[in-house]
Amino acid sequence: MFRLALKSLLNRRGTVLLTVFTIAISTALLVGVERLRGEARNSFSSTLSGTDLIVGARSGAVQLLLYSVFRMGEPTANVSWQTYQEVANAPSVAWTVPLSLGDSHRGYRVLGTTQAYFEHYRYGRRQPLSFADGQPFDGVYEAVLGSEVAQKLGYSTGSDIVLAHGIGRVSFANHDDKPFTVVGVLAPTGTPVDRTVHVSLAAIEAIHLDWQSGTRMPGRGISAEQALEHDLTPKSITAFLVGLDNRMAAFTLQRQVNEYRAEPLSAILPGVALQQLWSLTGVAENALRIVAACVVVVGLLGMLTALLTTLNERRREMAILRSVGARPRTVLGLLVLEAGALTVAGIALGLLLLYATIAFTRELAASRFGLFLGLGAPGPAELVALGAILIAGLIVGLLPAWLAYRRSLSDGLTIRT
Amino acid sequence: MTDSSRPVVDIDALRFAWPQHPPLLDIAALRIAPGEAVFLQGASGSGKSTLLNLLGGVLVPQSGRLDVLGQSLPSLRAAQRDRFRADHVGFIFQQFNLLPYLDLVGNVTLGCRFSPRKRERLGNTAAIDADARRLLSALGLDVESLQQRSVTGLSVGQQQRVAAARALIGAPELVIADEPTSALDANARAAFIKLLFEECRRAGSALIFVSHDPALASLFPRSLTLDEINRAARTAEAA
Repeated sequence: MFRLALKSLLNRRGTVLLTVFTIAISTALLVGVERLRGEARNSFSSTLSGTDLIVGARSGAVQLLLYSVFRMGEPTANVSWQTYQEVANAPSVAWTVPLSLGDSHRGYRVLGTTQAYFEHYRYGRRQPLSFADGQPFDGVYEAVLGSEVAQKLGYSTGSDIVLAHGIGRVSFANHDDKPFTVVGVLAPTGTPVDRTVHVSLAAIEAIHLDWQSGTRMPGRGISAEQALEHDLTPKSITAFLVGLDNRMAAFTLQRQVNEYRAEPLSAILPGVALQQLWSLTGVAENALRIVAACVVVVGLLGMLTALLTTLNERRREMAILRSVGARPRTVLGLLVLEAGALTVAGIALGLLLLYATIAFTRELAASRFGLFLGLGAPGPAELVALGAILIAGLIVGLLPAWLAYRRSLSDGLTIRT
Repeated sequence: MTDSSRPVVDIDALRFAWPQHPPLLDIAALRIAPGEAVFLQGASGSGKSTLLNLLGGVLVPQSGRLDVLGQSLPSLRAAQRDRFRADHVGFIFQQFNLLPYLDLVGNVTLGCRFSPRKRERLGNTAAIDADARRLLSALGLDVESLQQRSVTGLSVGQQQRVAAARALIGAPELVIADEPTSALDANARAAFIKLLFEECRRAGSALIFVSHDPALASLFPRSLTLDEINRAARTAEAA
């Protein structure tokens, strides 16, 4: 019976191909949206691991998370160095990594930090940062580049770079009097680390010695060498990551930080903040899913139209089948089978399309949007989507099948054309 | 379940009407013996198709006896009647008898998919195909050259012979031909009927040949008109 259905379909390959193609495109879209969503979440979740708290000036949890870890948006205020020291020296704290943001290099953000960053920062499944080349910075005018910065701008260890004030892609205020030497390049991580220029906190301090309120003060030029003689202890930092001896202490410390009197601070649990972010993006994600689902519905309606229009031409076929002994139920089954075969073929072609598209665009997605689209087998959410398409296809197929069933009962062996 | 001495068709006081319609068929008696070839003449709209659907077990009468091969069709369930038709009755239609997506032999062997009895009788797939080729050759078709071509490219006369082969494969006890020659010219018509007779005789099948064309009646040993046997037609005329 399956071969009969298949041969009947092949006989109408023109319309059948178009129908399959419509279903394929809608499948690719639906699964593509699902994959994009999954990978976006994945890349966000895998950016930071092993950090128990993030502390910054008082702001929303999502905002603090975005600017401190994802280099998105701008910090509202800073945390004073003294406060940082106090929290860092709290008994339950195992380590801290200070983060100082605000400068950039040709569109890539500059992060002032300490060597603790290379020691304690973890991403993905608690993987530490590793060096593709060179080592952590030691001197003031030394920089460590993320892999993408090095690759895109053609830098390697030994290159000289000039940082720019502010975070615009094009900057007119350059710290060109204090060039940096690249001493290390990190291995790719698939996180914003790849797009970051890392320097020491002292470096951030040094390049801003002769600046005030965001502009260089005329006539107060301090050369790179002179700067080294100043006290380069920072007065403030943007935020810091905290690792604890015991994760259970996170809530206690979080409360203490949030109730800190001397300065308004926020301490966030990265996982909780991420959940808040998901609940924000969830609306947009669902909108995308609904649109994709609508496209699937349109695709299936196309199949319904194709099946219904052929039904009249196929009354003869059904009468012949009936005459040789096919039961009305067989006619029904034949048409449902047909719809099923169309849907399965559409799904298969759709997946093929999707994987081909991913294979061709993954470079672009990774470099432009930091999305690492995998070519792995469909995940659970995607399988659910595929299953839903198949079931919807069979349900859609039931309508013409039922019509053919009714007709084959009333037509019997009489061929009506 | 079947008995060779029994009539192939045995109708007694059969009445049929579509719902909310006056009786269409009212047949006092109709008996067709095994291997008999019968011409049944009837104008379109005379209840011809309905009678064929009754004989095929697609429709059931409101009352009366309808035995095929000694089996009362109305007493069978719908699925059993479909199976009975697959096993014991072959059909030839007016035209467009073939499924365009099956090849020549595939069209002939189509019915064997639905009839365990025919499969059993003929053997494996290869034997079924061989019998299909034998029938096609006997009906004057060059299987080797036509098999490669699409069946839609066959002439109407060739298509009707393929349909005859499909009706005859597995030697059903009854072959019902519904206007099989109306699309053929006069010469082809006589030749087709002659071939059909021969093959029905060889298979031992009774033949009911239905047509509106009274000119064909002379070719048959026995001929009936539907109006003669159908009392409902006379009542309708009288009214």
